[in-house]
Parts: sequence; C-alpha cells; structure tokens
Amino acid sequence: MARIMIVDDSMMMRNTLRRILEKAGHAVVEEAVNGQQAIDNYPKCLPDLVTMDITMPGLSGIDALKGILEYDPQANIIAVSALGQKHIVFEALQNGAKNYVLKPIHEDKLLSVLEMVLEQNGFAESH
Amino acid sequence: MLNQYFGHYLLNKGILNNVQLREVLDAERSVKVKLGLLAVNVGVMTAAQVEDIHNLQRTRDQRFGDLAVAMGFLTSVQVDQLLTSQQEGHLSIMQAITDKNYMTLSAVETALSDFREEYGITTSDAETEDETEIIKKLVDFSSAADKADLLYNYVGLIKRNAVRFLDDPSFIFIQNSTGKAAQSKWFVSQQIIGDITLSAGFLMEESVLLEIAARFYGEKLTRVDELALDSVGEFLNVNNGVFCSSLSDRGLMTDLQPPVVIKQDGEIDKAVNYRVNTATSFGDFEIILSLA
Repeated sequence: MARIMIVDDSMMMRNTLRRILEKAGHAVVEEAVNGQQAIDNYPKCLPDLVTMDITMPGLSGIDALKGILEYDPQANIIAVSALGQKHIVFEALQNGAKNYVLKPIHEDKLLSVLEMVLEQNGFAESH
Repeated sequence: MLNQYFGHYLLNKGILNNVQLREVLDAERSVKVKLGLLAVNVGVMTAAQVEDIHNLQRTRDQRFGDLAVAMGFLTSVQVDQLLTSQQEGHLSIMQAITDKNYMTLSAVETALSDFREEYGITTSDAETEDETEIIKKLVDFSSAADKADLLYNYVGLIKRNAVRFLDDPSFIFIQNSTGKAAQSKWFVSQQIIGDITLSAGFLMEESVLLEIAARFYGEKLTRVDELALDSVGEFLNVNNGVFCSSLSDRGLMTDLQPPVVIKQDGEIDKAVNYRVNTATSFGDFEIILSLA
C-alpha cells in the first residue's frame, strides 16, 4: 500500500483517481487543487508518490513538479495529461516525472504505471 | 450514420417531432450490434482484445476495425466481413419510421430523395458513409479557409466521443445556428493555443450539462455543483486533448488552457465564428468554435 498525493484542479478527476487508488488498496493522504498547494503540502505529508495534472490554472503542473523535486529530488511523480502530444509528455519526463498517464484515466493503466514507478524506485510493500 | 442526419432532416421539416425521432433512433440503436461484439461472437477476437481497442479509441480517434488490423487482432478481410454482417443486421431508420407508422414507405422514399438533393449527398456518399463528407454537407465552415478541415474534424470528433464517453449514439448535427443564445445557459470552453488558436466549447441548458457530467463521471448527479461543472470541463478537456494529438500528427504544436465553465446570460461574445447545434437523446447543445 502506497501513500499518494493527488494534484488536480478538477474535483471530478480527484474523485476518480481517489476511487481507483483506494480500491487498489492505496491511501490517498493528500489532495492539492493547484500547483502551489502541491508544493506547500508535499513536505507535510511526504507521500510515496504524487499524481500531477499538467494543465492547471496558476502554477502549471510542470512548475509544481519542479518545485517538489527541488525539495525532494527523489520524489516519485507521475504526470497526468489530457494531451497525448509527445512534447508535453517529454517536457514532464525531462523535468523529473518518473512516468505519465493520459486522460481519460484507465484504471488498469494507472495502476500499472504506479506500480512500475514504485517498484523501480525502491518502494517496499511493508513501507 | 447517414440515417441520423436524415432523421434530423425530417425533424427540421416538421415531418417527425422530437419524441418520434428519438423513438426511431432508439429502435435503430437497439438492433445495431457493435463491431467488437460481432468479432467476439464469431470467435475472431477475445473480449480482452475488444476492451483493449475500446480503451485505445478513447485516446486515439480511430475506427475499431482500423485499430484491430493495426494491432494484428483482425485482418482487413475479417473487418470487411464483420462490417457486412453488421450492416445486414442494421434496422434502418427508414424501417423504424414505417414500422411505427409515422410515415408511409412512399413518403419516406420521397423525403430521402429530397434530403439527398437538398444536401447534395450522392449515392456514393450514402454507400461509403464517409462521416467527414457528410458533415461537410450539413455544416458550413468554408469561411475558415485552410482551417476548415480542422473544424470539420473537430465536429466529427465530438460526435465520436459522445459515443465513446457518453454512450449516446443519437448524436446529430443540424445547420449552423445563427439564433441568439437562450437565457441562462451554461458555457464550458477551453482555449487551444499554439500553431492554431481555437476557442472550443459547448453552450447548454442545465439539464443537458447534468446529463453530460453524470455520464462522463459515471455516477448520477442531481445538481450543478463543483463536481458537475468539473466533470463537463473534463469531458471537453479530454475531447480537446485528443484533438490536439491529431493536430500534432499534422505537425501542428498546441497547448491547452484549463477549461472554464460559466453561467451565460444572454448572447455570448459576438466574435464567435461558428455555432453548431447538436442533438443527443438527452437534449440539445451548441458547439461554439472561434478561430483567431
């Protein structure tokens, strides 16, 4: 079971992600509705993984990702985007995202990517 | 799909009313079997393979048969055979209209001939059912010049995504709307910026917003609150994301701004270039498109 922070300005998306993650046995320890809130809340909850919406009002998901990594270079962040464009995904990965998922969120795909990121970055089930 | 446009032609001409049209489209829908189901039924694909393709269609705007061939699940010959069997099992709207005694067969044939003549739809159009070509005959984006094709593609994408995400095949376009916006409608819009600048959105009444929100979210929603507004915004966001992906395939780089949902009283911005009325089984809404 991983401790996860969800970052998305859309309540619908936060609810959807929470539903999928909790159903899979993970704990959603924090939700942030914008990039700045994500940066502010990360140190308080120190999640095992962050799902980061790329397109948000105010501070972008890319900038929020950079902000979190500045605090914690080991942070596991999965970029979430409605855009399937290579350059957006590439930008997220270049700036430190460990992987990405596209909207609309497909449950199996999200969980597969999440488990891969956690496994590749030393997350143990007993954590 | 030509049937859907013919059905709305009958509605516009006052030959069928809204209730009758929805009944015949539902009757048509209840008989038509999806290609994936047919493939599983005859044993050429597994249910898991069908599900993989349906999931892929939500991020790639491609036909089931094309994806099945690309992924090696089916051959082109098998796709053709499945399409043939689908067509043979298809209860046409014409048959549904006569079965319900809304029109005589002779009247249907006359109306169909008038419809094809009025919209310049040839026999080959009807046979190939090329959706883009049919949309071009019903919606006029010619003033967009070299960007017209993008707008036709956008409108077609909305229709396909309504089937994929809202489970509503009764999705029909009628002519560009030039009427004034009714009072107090909800306007959800999003800016696409970059190599092209396009504002794309929907204008709809509250009941339609709630239905779209509920269908996309997957749960019943009874009031217009943050969840409902976000859900509609996400439907637009997903649709526009797929559109932007198709633009990048054409070498056009674009980004999306976050969607915005507001209550619109009176007319929307007069700079709006195009308004397309679309009809679903749960109500009508307008696609609002503005090019920079």
